[in-house]
Amino acid sequence: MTTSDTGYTGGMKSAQDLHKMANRLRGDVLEMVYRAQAGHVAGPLSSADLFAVLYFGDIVKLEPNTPGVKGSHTPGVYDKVILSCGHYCPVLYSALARAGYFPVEELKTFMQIGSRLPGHPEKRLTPGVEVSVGSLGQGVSVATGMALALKMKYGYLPQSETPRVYCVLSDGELQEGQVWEAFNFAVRRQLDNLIFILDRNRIQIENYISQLATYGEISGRLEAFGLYVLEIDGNDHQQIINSVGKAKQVMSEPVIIVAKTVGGKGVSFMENKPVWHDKVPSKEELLQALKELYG
Amino acid sequence: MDSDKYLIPEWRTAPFEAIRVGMGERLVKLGGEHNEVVVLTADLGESTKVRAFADNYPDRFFDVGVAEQNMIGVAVGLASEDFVPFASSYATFSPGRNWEQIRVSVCLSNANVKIIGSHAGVSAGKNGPSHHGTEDIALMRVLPNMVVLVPADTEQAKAIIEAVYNYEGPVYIRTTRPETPNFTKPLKFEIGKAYMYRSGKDVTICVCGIQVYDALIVAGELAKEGVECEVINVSSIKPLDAETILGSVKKTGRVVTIEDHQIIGGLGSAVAELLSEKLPTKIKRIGINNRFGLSGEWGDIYKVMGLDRASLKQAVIDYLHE
Repeated sequence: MTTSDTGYTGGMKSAQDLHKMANRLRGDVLEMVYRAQAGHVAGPLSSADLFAVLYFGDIVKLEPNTPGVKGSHTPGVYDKVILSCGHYCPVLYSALARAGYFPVEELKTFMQIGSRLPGHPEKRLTPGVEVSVGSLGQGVSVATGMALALKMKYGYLPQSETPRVYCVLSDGELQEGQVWEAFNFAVRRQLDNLIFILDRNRIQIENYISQLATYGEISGRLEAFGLYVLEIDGNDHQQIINSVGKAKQVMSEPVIIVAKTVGGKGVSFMENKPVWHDKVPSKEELLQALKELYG
Repeated sequence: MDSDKYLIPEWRTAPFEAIRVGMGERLVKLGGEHNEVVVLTADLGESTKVRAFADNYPDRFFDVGVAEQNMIGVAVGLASEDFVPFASSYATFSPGRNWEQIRVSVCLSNANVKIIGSHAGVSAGKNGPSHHGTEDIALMRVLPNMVVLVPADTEQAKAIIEAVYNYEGPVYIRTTRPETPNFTKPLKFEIGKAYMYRSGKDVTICVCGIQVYDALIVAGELAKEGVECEVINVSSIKPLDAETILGSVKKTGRVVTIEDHQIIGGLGSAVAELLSEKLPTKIKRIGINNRFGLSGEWGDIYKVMGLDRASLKQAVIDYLHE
């Protein structure tokens, strides 16, 4: 067991640091959306804690700041992070920039002509982006194929050392049938190097998810498909770190971390309101939000 | 005679073999030559003839079950780690059912994924229109980054597999169900090149797939009646060999296209688009005209739908008399 499996971070990334980073990502998201006058808000904000842990929690073995121009063809053994719900991309771009994949200044070009940061992620355009997404469900299958490929390439390594694929998906995305096709395949192939992280923020573009789709007890459904389910508070960094540590110890089953989050997390007037799924804040709302985030 | 260059000497009595069979055999050979070649199917390994790959390389064969959308995503994931996936199903399901996965996961990522659509056209026969892939060329042709190839026989299918392996990027390969003449020589295939199988001065016939052979037979019959057809095997529908086609049409001034596919969006459209921009010419497109096929023996279906040799011959004559 490595130290990160226990949740002990050796003082390198305290929960306080991660909290600050998550709010930094949130601030970036709001500034990007405001500047572009387009983009999504609620999901990127609800998942900011997940991205803070994935990119700054010292638990994911990321390729060190290597521009992904030639795709992900890397000689070394690294983990992969796949964002499947492409509309969350502002928070991914912010995390990538702050992790050093490209200059933070470039975040200002979000959605502009000639930018490397398009409205939904595109492979071969943005450093650190592994696959083009934007149509819901597709990244889940690609992540599954990637986990299979890594098993084929590095199956000789002990399970604890096998490179892993972390795939972030949204709960609205579960309405796509392809997601369940991918789950079936991942379970059948025993892809225990595949860790799904479900941003369970309970809202989608038109409404609360419960008003549109009957998930019932979502974890039960996922379990019935054969996934190893971990339920956590997805806005609690320590719980995220602990759950990833646990997920790495699961053998022969893909894991899904059901991260219960709050849509629009961190900004009082955005929290839990479907209207903020893709609403652009006014200047006043932006300033108020940044004040709340940065204190 | 160009036929000597491309056709086996005994092409008129060539042995019959299904294109899907040749494709499957060449994939097995490719798997032996390159460890990174992997094959996927969606519960149709036997009928698309990729099962032989599984028998030889079980660790590199993935039957994903009846889930064509996921099949494409898994292929993209494998390609991103430098595997070279060939994903095989019926054309009507893949690229039919999973078109949008191919659009975003494959083409927008420019992923090195090869898609084989078998049982294309109404020649798929008895299973009926739900199983006839008659729009696949149109669906793939419209996608940026996608290459579209249609082998005319087993030998060409093998050469295409080789060429496709050596090409980095998305490719769609269309194969067919029935046993048809294996009439071409084993030659290297060049993506983007059309092959002139017979030269003639009166009319250009652009044709793809199993009907290339039919076009040659029809051209032979028409020659006896004094009509010299130039028969071009347009196996590479995208990219299209503009030079060869325009060169021929400049000479003949007349052009007929033949395909077992909707004439909307298929080979006929590709040729019409080219000619209307570069060399406006009145064109006759023979194929499936805005309708579905029907169940039956494929030879009978071809007669009903005007795709058999007698109908092709008559259509060319009618066009020349217009």
